[in-house]
Amino acid sequence: MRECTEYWELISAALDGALTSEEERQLEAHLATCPDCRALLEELRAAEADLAAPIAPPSGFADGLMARVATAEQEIPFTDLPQDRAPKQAARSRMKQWWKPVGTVAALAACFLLILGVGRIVNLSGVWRSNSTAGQSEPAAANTADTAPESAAAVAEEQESRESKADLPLPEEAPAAAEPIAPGNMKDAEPMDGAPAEDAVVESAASSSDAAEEPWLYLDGVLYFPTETEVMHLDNGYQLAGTLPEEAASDPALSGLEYYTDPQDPSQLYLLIDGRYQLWKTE
Amino acid sequence: MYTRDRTEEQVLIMRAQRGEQDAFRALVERYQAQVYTLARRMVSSPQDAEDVAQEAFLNAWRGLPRFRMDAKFSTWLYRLTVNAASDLLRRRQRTQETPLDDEDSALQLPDPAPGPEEQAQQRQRRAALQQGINALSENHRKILLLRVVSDLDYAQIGEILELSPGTVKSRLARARIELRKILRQQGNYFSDTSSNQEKGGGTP
Repeated sequence: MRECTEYWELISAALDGALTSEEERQLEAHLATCPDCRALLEELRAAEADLAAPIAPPSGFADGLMARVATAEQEIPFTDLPQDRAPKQAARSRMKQWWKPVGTVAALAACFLLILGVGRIVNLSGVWRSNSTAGQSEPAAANTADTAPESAAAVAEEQESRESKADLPLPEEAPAAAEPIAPGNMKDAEPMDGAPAEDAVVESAASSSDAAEEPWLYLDGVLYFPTETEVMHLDNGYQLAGTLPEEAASDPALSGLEYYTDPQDPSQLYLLIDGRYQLWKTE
Repeated sequence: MYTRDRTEEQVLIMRAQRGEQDAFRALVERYQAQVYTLARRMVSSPQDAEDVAQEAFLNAWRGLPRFRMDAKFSTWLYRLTVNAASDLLRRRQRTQETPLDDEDSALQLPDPAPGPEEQAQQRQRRAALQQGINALSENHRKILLLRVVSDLDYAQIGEILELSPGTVKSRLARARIELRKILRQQGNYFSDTSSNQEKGGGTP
């Protein structure tokens, strides 16, 4: 017969409701013959029920906090969401202007100089709104402005240990210093939350009259409509791997930044900015 | 309705990300009890717990623009709470400050219908329980509280503590065994529930 200690992990998992049916059967069989382990389970159950009882915060907690909030600056302010179609188109054509002629790494360099030049890393984190499985077949054609989807701008997706960084003082730190977390891993680490979270729909935030089904990316205060390929990338998360394209490696403006290309599609260049891997479409 | 709730919360988050304090206040009101309870269990003294909870929310406010919508807001908040608590405990250790006494168990939310005597007894037991928690190593305390108080699953806890779910599972088991051993040694907590199990054989 096994030692009691071998059942401790099962007892612990039982408290979490995390036993497989086979484990449950094993534990039941043991408990039936072992009063000590029964007592252990019961006592822990009682202790945890007590422990879980909520404790009310002191009265005025929220008031005191909000007084401090009023004088505390947010790390990076967000600009307003675009309210109608026009700004969206404007956003898109603006990005085209930016990216189409320069095309590749030169644009990245320019962008970085711009970003770094203002002395502060601009917030590039985005809110990704997918229509989930339907995302792959997104009705890009329905978007009248969609003349050239493949040139439709840079799309950034953030995968970073943002939460753990959020209590760091400021985002001015050197970009490369932050530790990335590959998106795949983030998703794996969050099975309870993963897939449905992608589906986070904020209907009232997007003007939904004509684009209710269209996936969007709220990025740096601007609403973008990613291309079909990008939607796929955003839905799946990126696999980060590969080496620098030669022209990028030789560009001094980019030295010190970490970047990767997608082995499946070398035209996709990922950059590590502010702790996030971001995709820059270079085509 | 779960989705509906999420949506509502996410609208609040997006507004708060844009600097709207009203929206942030609504989020605070939604989560203050959970955050405070976790803080209180971590650091024990009411004054310290309030500081920790305020620090956590303040950091949330500052960091909100960087918050990613596909993460869970509550999990993020609990992470900030645990971090703020660790900071405070570290500071205390360095300066050898002694925390204020845990004098106000009266702030516990009232149980459904306890008589005064039962209430006093329960208060005593809860104080004993908190002492047991305080005696845990910090790692064990964190992991157990995130599981039991914040009701997170292994994966979410693993994300906060940067551990694999498997490690979370086994460490939780050790934390529980440690807690039970401490409570038994103290002798005040289990006395009325299982006085007949004096020795509690499985304990190390």
